[in-house]
Amino acid sequence: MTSCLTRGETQTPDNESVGLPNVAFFPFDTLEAQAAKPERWNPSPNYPDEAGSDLATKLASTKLSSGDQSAPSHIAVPKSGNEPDPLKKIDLATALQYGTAQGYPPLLSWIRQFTREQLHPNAPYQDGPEVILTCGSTDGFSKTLDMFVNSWDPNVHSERDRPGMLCEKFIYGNVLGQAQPRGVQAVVVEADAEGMLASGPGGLEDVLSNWDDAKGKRPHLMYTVT
Amino acid sequence: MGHNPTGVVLSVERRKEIYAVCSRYDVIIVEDDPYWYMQFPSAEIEEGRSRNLPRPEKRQQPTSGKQTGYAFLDSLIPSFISVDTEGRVVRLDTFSKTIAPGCRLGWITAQPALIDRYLRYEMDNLLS
Repeated sequence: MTSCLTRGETQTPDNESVGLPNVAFFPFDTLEAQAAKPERWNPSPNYPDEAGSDLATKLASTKLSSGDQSAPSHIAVPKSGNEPDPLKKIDLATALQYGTAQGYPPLLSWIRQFTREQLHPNAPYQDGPEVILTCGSTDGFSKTLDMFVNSWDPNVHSERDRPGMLCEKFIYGNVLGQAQPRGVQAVVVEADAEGMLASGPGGLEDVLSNWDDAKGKRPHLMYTVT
Repeated sequence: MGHNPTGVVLSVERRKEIYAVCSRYDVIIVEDDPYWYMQFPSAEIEEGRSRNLPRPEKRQQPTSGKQTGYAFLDSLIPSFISVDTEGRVVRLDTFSKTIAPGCRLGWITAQPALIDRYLRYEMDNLLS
């Protein structure tokens, strides 16, 4: 966690350059919610014919509370909390204030930990995977296109410079809508019942090794919904 | 893990084959994986039963590397991230399918140097 804090502190001059409004002027005093407890839904066992043999089954039969499982728990976020650790401090004084480009520290911290410990415990990166918050995957893909693609305009640029994006024949349509205004051409890779083909006619190797430069740049970006 | 719109789940073997080709031709892999948790070994067993097929092999828990200790998480087919020895994978995650679509909240996972570039981009576009 230290790395994300350090980056947040060293790379965001905005806290110094922007006047921070007085907390007393924020027009909310608390945020409160009734939220479902985890036990409202029972996880289904991985192997139902081996009941009792795995953790999911044990979890499903474990009652964390004896009360009504559909009853929600009450969450109250105070105006100002006493927590000294900014990665744990959840209050309106920080949530409604100017922050860093990384987003709300406790949220980023939780997502980062979940990603590193639960989703990708075996990522081969030396210091583990890093994360950055988005406004959903569509926003994430838009930023990804901005990062990896030079926008191409048929009236300005040569056909040979046209960027390409490898994708399966059947593709989530929104993605094409995001790629087209940037001049990116979709390059189709054939798929079988197991997904995109790596080799064989129309497969990834075939498409890339037989690329015709006159049709545009050989694609350096692949989009896949795995 | 489930392809939209076909529902196919890419096997680990196929992932490695595709990764090897992307490595040869220097291709960045964007893995959009909103349905990563929708893998049900129980459904494979029920499918076999209704189609008079033999009971499918039990999914192998990973024998090497770290485990989370949660049987379900450890039974999932691992992400492209798990084979990304060259740092060419960008993974998109979202809360739209797990909490609620209106959250408009998600995250990108990648190697640290790439995420640092995303952060600099973010600082130019979203000074908050």
